[in-house]
Parts: sequence; structure tokens; C-alpha cells
Amino acid sequence: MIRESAQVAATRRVGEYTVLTMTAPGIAPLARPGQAVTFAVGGAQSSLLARRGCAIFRAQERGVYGGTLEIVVDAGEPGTRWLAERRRNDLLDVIGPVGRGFALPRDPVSCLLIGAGWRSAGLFGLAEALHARGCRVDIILGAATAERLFGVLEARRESATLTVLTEDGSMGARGQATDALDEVMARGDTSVVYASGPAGLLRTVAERARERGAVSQLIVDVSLACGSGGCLGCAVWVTGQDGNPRWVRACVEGPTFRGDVLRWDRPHPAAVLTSLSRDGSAAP
Amino acid sequence: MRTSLGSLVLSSPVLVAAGCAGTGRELAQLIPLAHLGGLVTPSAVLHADAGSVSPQLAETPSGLLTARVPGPTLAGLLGDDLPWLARQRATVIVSLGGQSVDEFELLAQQLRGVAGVSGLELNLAGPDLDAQGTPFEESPLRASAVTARVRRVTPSHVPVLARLSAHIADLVEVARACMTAGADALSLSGSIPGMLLDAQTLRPVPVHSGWLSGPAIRPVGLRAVYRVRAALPALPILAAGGVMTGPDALQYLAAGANAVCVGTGALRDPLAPITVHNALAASLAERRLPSARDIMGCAHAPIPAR
Repeated sequence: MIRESAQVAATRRVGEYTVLTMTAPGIAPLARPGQAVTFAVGGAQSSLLARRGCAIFRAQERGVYGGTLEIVVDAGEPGTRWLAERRRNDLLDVIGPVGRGFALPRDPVSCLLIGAGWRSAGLFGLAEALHARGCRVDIILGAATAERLFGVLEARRESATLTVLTEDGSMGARGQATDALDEVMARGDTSVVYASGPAGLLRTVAERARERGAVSQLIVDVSLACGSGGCLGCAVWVTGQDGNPRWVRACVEGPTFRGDVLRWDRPHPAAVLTSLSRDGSAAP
Repeated sequence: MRTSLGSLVLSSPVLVAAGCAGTGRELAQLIPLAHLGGLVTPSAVLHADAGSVSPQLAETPSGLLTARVPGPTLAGLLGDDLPWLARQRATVIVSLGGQSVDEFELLAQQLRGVAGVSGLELNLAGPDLDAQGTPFEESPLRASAVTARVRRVTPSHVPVLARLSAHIADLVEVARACMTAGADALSLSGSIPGMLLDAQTLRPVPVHSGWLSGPAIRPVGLRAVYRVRAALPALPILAAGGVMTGPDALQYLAAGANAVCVGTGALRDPLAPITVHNALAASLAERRLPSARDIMGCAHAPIPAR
């Protein structure tokens, strides 16, 4: 994990989201699928003190500008809006890669990737890594509307089958991402499910995977408010190795967790940051 | 820029608070801990109490509001983190969070002779279970009882810092009581109670005891330092509260602090403790002052005529 000053190389709109490409020659070569980065937002004099965490969408070790990172920003509150408003050549204070990436299967087993809204972004580096190991990859993407889907084109390229669902039916089938879980898992004979989405989706995925005898690995939906282990804004309620429940930090022991380790009998605390600062735009 | 807190000599007047969860391991990936004046651990407890309070964090203009969650157990700190911190050659002040006078004494006893402990900080903001949960710091009697008992079982070369919150009504009197009971220095905490309402549910967050930190409370912290320094000129002060930059640290020293702790500032910018140190050194040089001591408490003197 290092801190560096990353320069924005390009920005583009994808539906309701902004994709930022930045040169981060220190962080990019270290990044593994499932890991995150955090940004200071608002400039040096900003009254916004919490950093904003973001899954790494793509990390390239070398390119025209050296290593680059891509992230997907949902401009739902003042901090992420500031991020989305960055322009080419602007500098960003980045810490990363934060936490542990996904565990990859040793054998070429059948995998399902399921993501909701912009949070799907954290799954694409993984899809490439699974392909490299000869795994079958099925993908399910869901969101409230077509504009809030992310990665449909990339997913089509990276998957044996792609299932798209929107709550308003504006793209793909009408419904939530998890509505397709059983069918896709049965068809692909899925051994491992990887998910990134809101807590409700993660819980459903963990439960369905367990019922079907599959392993689940989830990117938890918490705010990484510092990225350097100190703030406890990313606490996650888990079953420890001794069998007792405890809070652990997603920026250290996550943000990827096995579904059978996560506990659902406590609210994830970082929802507070989101609900306080969100200004009414719908969650994916 | 050497400074001291009682018998403890620090290479820099800028320390870092490891945070409510971290003990410096993650921070150490970003800055060398040995380059700091020191590191204050989270307040260690005697018994694990996982899950009693949900960690919560909310952002408010220029501040963070957090729930105070139980710190690590002292046993865990002793077995794992302290030896590691000693290997980093960090100057470590171990903070203790007892829930009774006896618990504080037990915690301090367990630290006797442990290598790599440069000082003890007594977190007196916690509930005193022998006084219906009233925080120790709200009673000069209880705060001084803790200080006296810990001082008695702690080797004399290890300074004991009494930590008080900046907002308490009798700050000066409680500080005086702790000093009389043997406290070698005062640690002024970088957070005060606060509350926010969730925008949707219109209910308080954090649900349990919210504590506000960051630049939003810097004026509160400065005033606390100024008051204690005016009343108790001989008591060294480790100050905290919204230190983000060199000028912030300079103001705390001028108000009377012997050293400052960077807490919330290091969450936003983990390099802040180093940049604050460098900026402080630069501004002392600019004022042609050979040592940090030459600026300490200057806010209490009239501006010299030119």
C-alpha cells in the first residue's frame, strides 16, 4: 500500500456514472482484483475529511503514461461529485491498493460474477484473472435502470453467458440481479460466486451459495473513510477464526470476504456515512 | 525540534494517535513511525468486549463523528502490537481504558517492565463503573484516584499522562487534581461529544455516544490548552484537536502545549504527521527560533515591542 499523487488522464461518462482513468505508476502494478483505493476529496482546504473509497475497475501495469488505474464514480454526494468533476491533468491524492483481493480458485472451476450498479466495477479485473486460469465465467448485472447499469459491454466480452436485469425493465429482464441467481448457477454448475453490491444482494448471494454448496466471495459495501487502518468507518461484523463474532476492518481484512464469514445480525455501520451525505439520488 | 513530556524526551513535538482501531501497522506502510515524535495507542482494555458498541463514522463539516468503541485488550497489545512497534523503533505511549480505579491499576501493573513503553496515558473519559458510569474526568476525586494508583505501580522513569476531554466544566480543577496525584503530564483529548441526526430516519447517529474530532473543534482544543497552561504553568501538555497543518501545530505550542498529536488529520492524509513536523520546523527557522521550546506558551505574553 502506498500513497501517490495520480494524474487524471481521461474521463468519460457511462450511463449515470463517470469513469476516471489516472496514471498511478506506483499503485497500478500492485493492484489485485477486488482491492480498492481511497481518495482525499475537495482539495486541500476542504471541509470533507473522510476519504472516499472506490473499487479498482481496471489496473494496467504499463501504458502510454506508465501504470494506470480506472475507477467508476457514482456522484451521489458532495465528495464523489467532486471526484466526478475532475478533469484531465488534475491531480488526485490516492492511497492503495487497499485491503486484500479475491482468492482465486486453484482449478479451472465454473464461476459466477454478480454485480449491482456501479459496484459491478470491482468484478472486471477478476473476470480476466479467472479466464487466465481457464475458469468458466458467467455474469449477472443488475441495477434500478439501464442508466445505472455498469459494464454491460465488458461483461459480454468476458462471459460465457451474461444476464442483465433492471428493476424498471429498461434493459434486460425486469427484476433484481439476485432473481437470476438460481437459474444461472444451475446452468453453469457454479462452484464459486463472486459478488459486489449493496448489503441485501450480498446476503442473498451468501445464502444461495451456501444452499447450493458453492463458495461465495463478496466485496462488502462499506465506506473506506481512510484506507490506512485508523478510522474504523469500514468495520464489518464477522465470525472470527475462533468462532466468536467480532468487528474487523474491511481496509485490512477485506474488502473481499467469504460469504460464510460475514454475519448479518448487525447493521453495517458505514451506511451512516452514505445516508447522511446522500442527497436523495437512488441507490442502484 | 526536541521537546519533553515530563521525563520523556521526544525527538519531535508531533505525535500521531494510532486511531480507534489501528495500532500503526497500516500507517507504517506509508510513513516511518520512528520519524515521529511518538505514537499513542488506542486505549487498551482489560477484558474483550467485542460487539457491545457498533463502530460508526459520520462526516460533518470539517469534522468526523465517531462512536467510541472498546479498544484492543491489553493482552493483545502486549502479545502482538507492542513488540512489533518496538521493532519499528517507535516511541510508544500506551493508552489505558480502565472502567474502575482497580482496573486501571491492573492494566498499569501488567505494563511494568515491558520493553518499548515510553509512557502511559490514562483515558479518563470512559465510564467509572464504581460511580454509576460517570466519566472519571468529571470528578477531580475519581480522576486523581486513578492517577495516584497508576503512578504508584509504575516505574518512576515512565511518565504517566492523565487524558482529559477539552469540554469538561472543571477542566483546570481536574487537571490540578491529577497533577497533585502524581501525573507527569496532561493529555488533552482531540474529541468532544457531539451528535448528528440521520437524514432519513431523523434519529441520532452514532446511536451511542458520538465524539466529534477534526478542525471543527480546534478552537475548543486551543482554549483548553490556553486555560490549563495559564493556571498550571509547570504541567506539560500533549494537545490534540484538529491539527492538520504546521500553523495548526504552531498555534497549539504557542497556547502552551509541549507537543501535539495528529489524529483525524492523519486519517485524511496519513502523511500529515510528517508534513506538520516539517512545516513546524520551517516556521521556527523562519522566526529564528532554535527550539520548539522557544515558542511554547508565547500566546500568554504581550507582543514584544519592535
